[in-house]
Amino acid sequence: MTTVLQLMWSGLISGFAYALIGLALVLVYKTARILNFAAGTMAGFGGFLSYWFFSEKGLPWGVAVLLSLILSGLGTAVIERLTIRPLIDKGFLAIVVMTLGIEVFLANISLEWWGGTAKNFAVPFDLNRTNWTINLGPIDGLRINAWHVVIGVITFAILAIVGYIINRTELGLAMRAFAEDQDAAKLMGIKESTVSQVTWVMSAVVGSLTGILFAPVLFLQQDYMNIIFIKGFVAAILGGFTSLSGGVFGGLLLGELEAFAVKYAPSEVAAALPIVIVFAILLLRPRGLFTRAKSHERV
Amino acid sequence: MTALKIQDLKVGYKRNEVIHGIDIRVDAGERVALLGANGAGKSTILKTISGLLNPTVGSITFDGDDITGAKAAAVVEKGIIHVPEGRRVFPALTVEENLRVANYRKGSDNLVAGLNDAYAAFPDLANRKDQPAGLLSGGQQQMLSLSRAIIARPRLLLIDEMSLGLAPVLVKEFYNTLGSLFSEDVTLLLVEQNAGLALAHCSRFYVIRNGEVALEGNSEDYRDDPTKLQSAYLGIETS
Amino acid sequence: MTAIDTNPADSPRSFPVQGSALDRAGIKVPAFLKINHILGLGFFIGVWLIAPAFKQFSQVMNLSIIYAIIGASLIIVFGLAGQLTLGHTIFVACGAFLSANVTERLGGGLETEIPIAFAIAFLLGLIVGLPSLRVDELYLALATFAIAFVGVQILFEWESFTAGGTGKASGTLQFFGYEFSRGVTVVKIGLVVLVFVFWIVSNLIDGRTGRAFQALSTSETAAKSVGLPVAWLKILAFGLGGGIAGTAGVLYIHAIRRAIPENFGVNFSIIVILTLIIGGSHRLAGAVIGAIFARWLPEFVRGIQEYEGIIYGGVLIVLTLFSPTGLVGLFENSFKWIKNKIRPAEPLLLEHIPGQALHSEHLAYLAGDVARGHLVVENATVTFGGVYAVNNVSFDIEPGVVTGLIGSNGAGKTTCFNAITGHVAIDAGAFKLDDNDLSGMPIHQRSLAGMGRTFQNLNLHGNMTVLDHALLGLDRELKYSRLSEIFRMPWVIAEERKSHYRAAELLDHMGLLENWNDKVEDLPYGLQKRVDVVRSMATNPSILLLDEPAAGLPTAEATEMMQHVRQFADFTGAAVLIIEHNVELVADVCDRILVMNAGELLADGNAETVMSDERVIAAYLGT
Repeated sequence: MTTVLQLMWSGLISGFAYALIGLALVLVYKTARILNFAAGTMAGFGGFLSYWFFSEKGLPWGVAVLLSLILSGLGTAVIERLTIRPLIDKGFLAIVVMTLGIEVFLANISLEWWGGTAKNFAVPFDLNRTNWTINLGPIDGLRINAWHVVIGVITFAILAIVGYIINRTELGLAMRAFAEDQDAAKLMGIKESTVSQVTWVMSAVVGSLTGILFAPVLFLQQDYMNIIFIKGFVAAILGGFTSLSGGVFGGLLLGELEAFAVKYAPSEVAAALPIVIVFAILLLRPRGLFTRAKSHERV
Repeated sequence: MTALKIQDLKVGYKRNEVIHGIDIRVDAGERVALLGANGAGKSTILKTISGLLNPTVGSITFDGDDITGAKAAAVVEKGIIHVPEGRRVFPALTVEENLRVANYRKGSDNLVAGLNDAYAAFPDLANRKDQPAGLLSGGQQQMLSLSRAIIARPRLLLIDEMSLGLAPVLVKEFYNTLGSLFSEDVTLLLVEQNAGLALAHCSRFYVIRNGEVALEGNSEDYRDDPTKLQSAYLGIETS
Repeated sequence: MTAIDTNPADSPRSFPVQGSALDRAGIKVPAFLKINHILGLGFFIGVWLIAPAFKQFSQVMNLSIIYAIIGASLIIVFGLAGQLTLGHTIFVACGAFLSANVTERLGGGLETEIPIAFAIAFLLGLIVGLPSLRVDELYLALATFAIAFVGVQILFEWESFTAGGTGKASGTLQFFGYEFSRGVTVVKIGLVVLVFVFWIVSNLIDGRTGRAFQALSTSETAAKSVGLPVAWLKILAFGLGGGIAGTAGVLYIHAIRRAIPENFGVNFSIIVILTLIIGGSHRLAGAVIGAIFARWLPEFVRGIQEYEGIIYGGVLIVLTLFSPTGLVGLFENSFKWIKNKIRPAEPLLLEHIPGQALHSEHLAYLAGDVARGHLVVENATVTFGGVYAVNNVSFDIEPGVVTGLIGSNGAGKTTCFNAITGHVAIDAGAFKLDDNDLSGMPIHQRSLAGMGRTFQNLNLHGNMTVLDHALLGLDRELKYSRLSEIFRMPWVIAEERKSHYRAAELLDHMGLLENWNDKVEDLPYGLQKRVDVVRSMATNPSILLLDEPAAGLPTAEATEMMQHVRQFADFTGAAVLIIEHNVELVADVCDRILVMNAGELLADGNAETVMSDERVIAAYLGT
């Protein structure tokens, strides 16, 4: 019983990572029909920036994090304006290649500035080294890492905030309308440039925050967010790549499946799990697991 | 006073010129119809005014301001609202959300007043305000589309083929209520395939054929017998 | 009604004996070797000769050669067939580990390693290509990306094959027992393989398969409509690309001596495709230039070695913005620009005599004495969400006759048209063409059964030439297999020649001969429309369905084009069915007119009867 709960808990935590990156990817795809291959590296960059501000510049931890989020946002706004926007009419391939180019560029800048050795990402109160043990009734010896709890709390907060922006603000409404029908949205006075910028910046900030949250868990090193990024893709696919909540649930599901597979299945199988899922979804149900057949489809 | 003036307009998709130099004039408060067979270029003209397409040559002025080649959002800000062909509601958004989108950057006061007006004009919509717009019938979607225009408080209203795919009875109703939905100072340019209806509700018209103005006239001269327009429409003499 | 000269044989003009269209236009006849082959071979021979003098760069050369081979394999999948694959190095991994295992367990040399690596990687490629059938480019990129990442994990865990983290060492480098020393020899072996691979890929590019790949990458719909088996072609592209990459894998492990799964992951996959994009994915030279850029840049500019990746990314960003055809494209365009300044290109001026081309010996095979194209539409019904777009429509199209289908917007004529060609599914009804039942046939099979069509939005293949489009249509007449094509057998060349001669005559007939070498995306709209027509004409259809041929054209130009179509149809005995909005043109050109309204057939007769019908006029005026 305890083992199962332990697995469920660890699956949940990795699931949060996948869910957040999945969210970041779906955000960009929904509005701009673009696949952002640089998302993992951008997320990692956020982690590195925080580390730099905190450990090398001596800024208070909270300030370091805030500063790196702001820089991520601004940097992405610039990248979007200079490299993505000019390609808007040039087709899917051109933009994908561009994000690949950005990925290579950023990954190597990161390598150049911070080197290839793993770094210790310190967090306030050494929470990542604090473990609590729960003994309650049938539960015996359930170990919960304090930082994991922080991850959970912050993830919920991020999801709530993003959800609020998307669903309850005028800007979010504009984004949703734009995602449904670009031309009709333009006729309502919505600017393509605004939607594009906001989407990318939001996606980048979510990504950076994820990079920061998981740096203590994965250890800050070159390409540390790449694995998360790929599984975030799988999560997004599970959500049919068009549903934000679908991407989130997809991530959680993947996290859980993975946790159990690693424990109970041969290692090749556990490693192959994401690919099996991807192939299965693509071949059997491309619109994803979590989207209903479009009941709102026009006749 | 001329509200909308289009001069020598040429529009092309890639290398294909679709509109070959047209002149159109609409005076303030006037109701003008663009008639013609399908494929003649009527929708293209509206899309070029509203900024979805760019002209290659020519000029478009509204109330003295040059809006040639302006982006859609800028055109909306000038008070030109385009109700597109096929309704184009946002299917996954609810009815009320669709209406809110139309209120983009116009403030909450306008929203309150606008929602009131829309629901008063179309009680059907009020009953369905939390339903996804994709589930509405064609007629209800047209109501929604028009309501979005109401909320946007247009000075010039462009309507593209309101009758398309709707039962004739409904269409007549829509046209009859146009007057009550929008005040008299709203200028109206509408595209309509049904010549009879258009002539009944507009004072002037242009017949577009193959991207050119084939005929321009006053509705009263043709109301009694719209078939007089047939050679302008079809381009051939018929017995 | 304008008089159309429908029977060229009766024309009072006499046709002076002229050379074939191909010769008049100066089109090069396909041959075994092209100038590019000679230049390329010369280049590689040069490298072979100077290699011993640069022993210290042997490893760099090895890797450049391997990257160039991988680049060539990607030209097939990505450059030609347009499938963005981000997991390509899994095939290289496959080849590398197969090489190690084969030498270890079977004791053979390159003579066993390479064929086995190619065969297995080919099969793996066919499997990997399967998702491309079901999903669009987004998901394909994702799927291949996932394959790259997870594939490595699987290899890592598969201890018996890859020895996990320690990896496998390469076997001895031998060929039929003859053992090679290391050093420059490896470079030379690599060059031999490279020349062979480049030759094969070049043959593909010049042959029917290369053309078919290019066609499907720019417009799958159009490719299907000329009868190409698009699904199989996509999988084949992955298979061939995979096989060649597998071969590169064999060379790779011999070059680096030990391979571990980690080497072949996402990063490597992305690097190889970016390398090709930087070099230029539309030419084999691009694979070479990309490889040189990727491998030699750090060598020559030692000081900036740490910035290698940044430069890489930066170059890619700049190229994507300003020269999407890569470095090769940059060179080509500069070269053209300079050449134009020195000697401005003069446009080709050829005389176009209407109807002459049909008398050419090369088009004699098209002559049809029997009228064909008897299309029967029986009770066709198409609904969209409960609305009857086409409601129980039946009609017979007479063979050898030009029929028009008109109706106002929403009348259902376009839907009916698309149902006939197979682009839209029907709820009920049947279609027969010359007594062949077409029901349930997919688009490309209908094309093979004799149905040719053009498109409202043309669906041309932008970066292909006008001549290519005609050659595409003629694909079904080619009598050689893809295997022969790869090795450019003599009969391949003979068939290609025949096809080129025919294509030139068809271009001449449609007044396109002067533009034979122009990329269609550079042509004015009127000419583009004609290319659309000539592409489907080339398939020698029994019935030619034209989708709004006059749209966007001045009526005079449209009428002239229709005259050419008419002459062709009379010559081959084919039927023609046009849907149009331009009633003027239809009245001019068609023997018979069908009018649809609200999904039903409203009128049927000749131009005079139909256009005086009150119901027809009422339908158009909407009253």
